[in-house]
Amino acid sequence: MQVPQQLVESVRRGEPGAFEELVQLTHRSVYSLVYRIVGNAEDAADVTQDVYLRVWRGLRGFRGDANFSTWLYRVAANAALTHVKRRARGGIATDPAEMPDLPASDGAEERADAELLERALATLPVSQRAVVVLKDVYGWTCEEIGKQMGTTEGAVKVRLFRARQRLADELASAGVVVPMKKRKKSS
Amino acid sequence: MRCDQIRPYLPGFAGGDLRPETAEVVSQHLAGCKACSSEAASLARVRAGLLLVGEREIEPPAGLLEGILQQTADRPLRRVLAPVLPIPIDEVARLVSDHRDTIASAAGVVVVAAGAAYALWRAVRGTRAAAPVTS
Repeated sequence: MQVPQQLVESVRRGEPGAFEELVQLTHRSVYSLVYRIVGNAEDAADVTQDVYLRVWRGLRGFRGDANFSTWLYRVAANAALTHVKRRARGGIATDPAEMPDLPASDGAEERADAELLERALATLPVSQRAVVVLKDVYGWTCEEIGKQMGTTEGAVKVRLFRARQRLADELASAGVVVPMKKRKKSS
Repeated sequence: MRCDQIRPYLPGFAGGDLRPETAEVVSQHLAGCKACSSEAASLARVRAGLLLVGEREIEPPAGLLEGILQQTADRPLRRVLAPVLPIPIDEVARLVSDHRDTIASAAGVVVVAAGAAYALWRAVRGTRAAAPVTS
């Protein structure tokens, strides 16, 4: 997601139509990140709306020297994590069957893996899903994730490694890779 | 090292998240172990797939864009109590909402502390009142 600096400045100056243009340009990416963390469409839409309210209120305080996309993703991740923390108290699970249809893949093996993984992400416990999405999909560091989630870097790594292992198991059960139990034991 | 000792490190190895000395031990084991190498390859494939996940966009539900624009159109940027508050009142409300557990805990501590102080004050006053007056 690339947002021209000029557009950000236009929004900050309150130019007519600038905020609408910003939302049109970014809302799919923001929704995708939020969806991957919260795990269902209805909540993802609500949280995405909340993200843009925060952006609307916070843009005047946004420092022009920071990268706007990074800031926007941070606001989105923060809103999504706050939401799942609240939902966790209610014990509401996510439903992988609700995963919306994704754009058709180009047929490459990696693209097929990505589609399978996108669905497998929805089956992970929310604490593991949030960590693996932010780290492996969006490239955050474990330290950043720990700060955002209010936990230690070590705890983040434990969740991350378990999530990767579960995703590998999902690929194995889908027949994409050889399952561990069928492999020959060694040393 | 044995496979069962190495395997817990493989998810971290796949993402380059291990300390260099640990990664070196894992790497040496993989060089001579087909089973663990196969497992490491699966995890590397997961990592590669997840990178591609980020390039895909999930189509938002119909009406989301309009909903976002409508709600921001309904709420012009306000700076209520601007001389007192450095941020808009809406932002204060959001911060209170996001940190309500912390605020509730802090409020609880204040109530308990006030109660303890009052009880102490009553006890001290009672002791003074009961003390015999000598002249």
